[in-house]
Amino acid sequence: MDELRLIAEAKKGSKDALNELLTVNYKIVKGYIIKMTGDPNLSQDIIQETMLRACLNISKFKPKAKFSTWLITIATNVYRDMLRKKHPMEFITETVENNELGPEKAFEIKSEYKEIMDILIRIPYKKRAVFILKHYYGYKYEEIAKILSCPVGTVRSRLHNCIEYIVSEMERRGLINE
Amino acid sequence: MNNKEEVSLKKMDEIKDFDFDINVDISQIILKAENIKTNRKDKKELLLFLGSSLLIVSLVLYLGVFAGAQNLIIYFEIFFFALAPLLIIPAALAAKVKES
Repeated sequence: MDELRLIAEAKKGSKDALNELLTVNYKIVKGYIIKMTGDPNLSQDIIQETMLRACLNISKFKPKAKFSTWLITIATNVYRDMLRKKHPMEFITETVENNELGPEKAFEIKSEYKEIMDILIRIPYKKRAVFILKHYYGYKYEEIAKILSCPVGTVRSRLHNCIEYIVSEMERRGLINE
Repeated sequence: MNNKEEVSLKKMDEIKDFDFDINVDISQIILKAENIKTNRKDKKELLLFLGSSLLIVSLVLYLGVFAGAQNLIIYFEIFFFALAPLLIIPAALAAKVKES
């Protein structure tokens, strides 16, 4: 069944359609939130809250944009709300294990992952969201502006600042050659 | 895009598929949402019922006590007890049919 039809069914109250919609879009929300937080527990809380809010407000959703865009908007709002409540975030590289590599190489990759994730996490959340949505998910500037409720020009400048920061941090940490 | 930017962005791609083992039960979330919706609906209905009851009783009391229509309370009671079952039962039945 296509997305529009699923949305229409879900709006009518079909639990199966809603379940399918959320399951199909779960991965994208999960990936986005994991990159935003770098924290498994916080990610889980945000994803659950996002899905719950989506279920409660499905009747308000207008299919002008993709369903995933709407979910990401909700997830961003939930993350912003949670940031106001609690701050500490710890980064755990629990999934960077690779048994095929030797211990030294695995350690090298693991620490590089950690460094890269650390660079991302240190970017202010509004800029981070722009970078993640543009770089990893290929959203258009207009779509990002809509998700973050800001002008397109702001999105462009945030992305520019973000890339500048990433390049300078990569250089400082010796991840790229100067 | 200069070379440094290109290399940096390529490095950033390394965490593209970064993942945590997160378990989110979507069916449970849908059930939770259903419960919340039902609770909200019940609350809304209760408030509506209390509000409208208060309004009717106040109106009858006002008319009976202050506006001089003393017999109105009796007429209202007779009217209400005679007609209420004929109105409320079909209305409740219709609401139940619509819900199911």
